[in-house]
Amino acid sequence: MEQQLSYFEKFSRAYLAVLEPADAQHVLLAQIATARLAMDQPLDVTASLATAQTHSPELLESVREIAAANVQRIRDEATDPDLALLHWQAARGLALSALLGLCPLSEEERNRLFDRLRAETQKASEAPSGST
Amino acid sequence: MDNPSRSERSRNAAIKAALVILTKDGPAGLTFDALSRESGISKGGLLHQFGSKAAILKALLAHQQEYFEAFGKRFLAASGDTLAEPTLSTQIAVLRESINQPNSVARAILAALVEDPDLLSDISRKDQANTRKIRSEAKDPDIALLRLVAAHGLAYTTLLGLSPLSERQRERLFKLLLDDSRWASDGSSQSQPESEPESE
Repeated sequence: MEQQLSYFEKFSRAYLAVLEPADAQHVLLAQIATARLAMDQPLDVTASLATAQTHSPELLESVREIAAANVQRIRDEATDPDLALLHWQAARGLALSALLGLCPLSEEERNRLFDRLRAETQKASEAPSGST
Repeated sequence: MDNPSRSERSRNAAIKAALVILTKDGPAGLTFDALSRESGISKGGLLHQFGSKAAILKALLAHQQEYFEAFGKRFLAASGDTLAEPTLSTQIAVLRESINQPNSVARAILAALVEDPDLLSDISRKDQANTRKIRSEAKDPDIALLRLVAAHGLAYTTLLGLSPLSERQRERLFKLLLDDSRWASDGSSQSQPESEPESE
């Protein structure tokens, strides 16, 4: 699980580095891209989570700490922080439900929703504050 | 002695005991010996009632499912006429409710996934049927599905202990997801952020 976290953190940083300066909400866009990448990985999330919940709760604490830092940055970058957090949660919901095998959507639908999520995030970035 | 209410009582006691074991020791700790110790029911009685570990998990999931289906029906009965997308709103409300029972739902689902993912096939079929209804009720099906998966994200990350959000933040986000008026008819999402500052 630690290795997986480290891999996704590296991907997220690399993604942030190549975003265009014109792109607003960099952290949210990177998080959406990272969730999309995670969804396609052959990860045994179930076993990792079951083990961590019972035997290594400190691992979950580190996941929450990383996520809390991202939440703060996502809120800071957004003109509409609640909408930005919902976009972030949608990306996490898509990835996590797919990894757990609980997603009711097809792969094609998930990819389309990730595209829409990115487009909605960019649209929200372009709108003036309070009118997204 | 064939006594349905007694049988039901022992079934409920076994389900409660299974949740305690799953919380304490994880899916691997759920054995008939452990269940007998925790519930006070003889191992023979438990074997007669359930037959296998998978059957215990199945009973656990069915118990959860009954509760949430009843909750969804009550929600729909109370507000169905006012909802633009009733299936979507009901699913979001059910996911919000699932957070109120954090250990039981998460443990049951994780245990089922570890033991045998096929145990969740009933739930998956119902989820797929609900998703089809959500699409058919929506003006913009993709926005409706994004609202649904955002609710999945809030619920799953909370239930699995991965969410950094406070209860207040989650409640505000669920409220926003349930508020049809916040999602524009042209298909774009919109939110009117509350003015209060939020710190983690």
